[in-house]
Amino acid sequence: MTSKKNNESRISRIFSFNNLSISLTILWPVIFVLIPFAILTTISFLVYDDVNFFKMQFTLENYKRLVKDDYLPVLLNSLVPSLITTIITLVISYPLTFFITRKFSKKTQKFLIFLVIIPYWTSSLLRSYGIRIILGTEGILNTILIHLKIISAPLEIIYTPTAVIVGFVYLLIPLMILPLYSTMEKLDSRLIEAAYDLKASKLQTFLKVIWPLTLPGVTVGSFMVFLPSMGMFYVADILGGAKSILIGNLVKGQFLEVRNWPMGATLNTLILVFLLLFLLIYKEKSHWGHK
Amino acid sequence: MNAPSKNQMPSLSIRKHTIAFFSLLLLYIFLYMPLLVMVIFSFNNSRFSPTWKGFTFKWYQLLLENSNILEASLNSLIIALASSTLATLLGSISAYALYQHKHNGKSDTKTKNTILSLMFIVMVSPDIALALALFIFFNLIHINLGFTSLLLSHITFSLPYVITLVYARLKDFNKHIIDAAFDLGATPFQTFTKIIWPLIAPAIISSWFLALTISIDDVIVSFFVTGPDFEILPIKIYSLLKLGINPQINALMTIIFAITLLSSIIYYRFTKEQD
Repeated sequence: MTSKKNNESRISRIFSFNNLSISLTILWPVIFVLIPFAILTTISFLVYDDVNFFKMQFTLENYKRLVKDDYLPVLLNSLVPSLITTIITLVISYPLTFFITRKFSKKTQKFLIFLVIIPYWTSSLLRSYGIRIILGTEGILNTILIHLKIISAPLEIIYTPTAVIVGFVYLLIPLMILPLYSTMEKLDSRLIEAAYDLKASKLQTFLKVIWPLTLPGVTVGSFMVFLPSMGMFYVADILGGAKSILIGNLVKGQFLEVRNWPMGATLNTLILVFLLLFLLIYKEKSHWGHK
Repeated sequence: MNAPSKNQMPSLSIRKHTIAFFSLLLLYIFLYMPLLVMVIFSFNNSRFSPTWKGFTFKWYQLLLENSNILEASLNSLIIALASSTLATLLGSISAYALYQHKHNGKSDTKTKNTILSLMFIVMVSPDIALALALFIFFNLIHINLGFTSLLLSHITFSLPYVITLVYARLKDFNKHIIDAAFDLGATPFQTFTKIIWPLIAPAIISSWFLALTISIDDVIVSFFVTGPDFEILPIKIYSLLKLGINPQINALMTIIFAITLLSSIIYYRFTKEQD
């Protein structure tokens, strides 16, 4: 009895300090993330007004416009660079990360992963410019290739969707490698050996053992690449010129140039749908995170 | 000794190895090439040529005389230092509260998980969505886009990283140490400063550096939530880049890369200490 009482007084002692900070912990993301997200989504259902940005009047017109106007092909097109980027980063990162986790000591692994993170922490805007210097018509790549007589005329890569994809892969590949590394690192080599001992072929071992166990990393990595890429309007501006448009560019235009908040918010809903999809998959497999 | 063949993957032959090593090398060349090119070009005595025209410091000189860029850099630095410091302070207290949190004397995993999920959502939210949401929010509550909105936004996206990192560190150590401190009559404040702080300091310092780098690197959120009165570096660079090639940008990049490299190394040291 006494120990329980003791416990309670101790709890009441830390109660006020604790509750205050716990509320603050909840309040900050609620005020600055959840409520703004809710407002943003609500505005997508309101009528456009050229004075106050929107009128308090419910409508589905914005969503209808999304399907009706020529928006849909533009919108689907804008997803293509993100999608291709996700596939390319996965194809590059998967075998390389696997190789890192199997062939190097823990210490070397940590260092190799650290080397992947450093560029990621350096201004992505400036690094896009670095890519432009390399890919430009009179850039380094063309200069070298012409010098080596591999090509006679400069390749026109810059200001094409290809340049945007190269930029995306370069900027976002660390976001694929990190989640892959954290699942592959935990993958027990003995499971693979057991599969071989039981006469599984290489392909079988991969499909039945390695792939299912690394799927969490693949899923998280893919979304970590795909989600931010949709919004990186500056990469499209710097590398893609006017030819490449992402949802990010469309949204930016609606908000800052056309000043049609409801339409911009509607376009943004598409991004939120992908975010929601990811969160649902993640929650469904929530044991992934606790492994 | 249960797996003597652990290092010997049967699936990898020597020839495949060479290919793998070579591919890995290519990956790192790919990752560092643009950075290296910019560093080299920042010393190249030519405005347009992609070939080497001699060593010069003139781009750095021009950069230092460019009051626009200097002012924007200073503003960026102020925002980065202020937001990372406040986020680290707030985040550490929150992580501690989360760790200590009990409901009716019982461990309250439900609240804890809800809060951690909330942090996860903020971390994985695409910058563009967060940027728009905050842009509308500040406009509607009539906060002028500038210093305040920028600071609040940067704290918002740094906070979850701090809380998650510090909480992970706290979760790992023996709870009895804290009970012992309370039993010996320590106040929550004393427990924090004398017991918990020394244990979580590495996590706090590394999360501060993380918050700092996230803040400096941010383009999208800053682009939407800042106004003409308070121009910060990414916005300035963005408008410069639209004008075309400018070697001053290479010089600026070299300086920023040097700073990032330094703070990454410090971060790496501290996280290594944690293991």
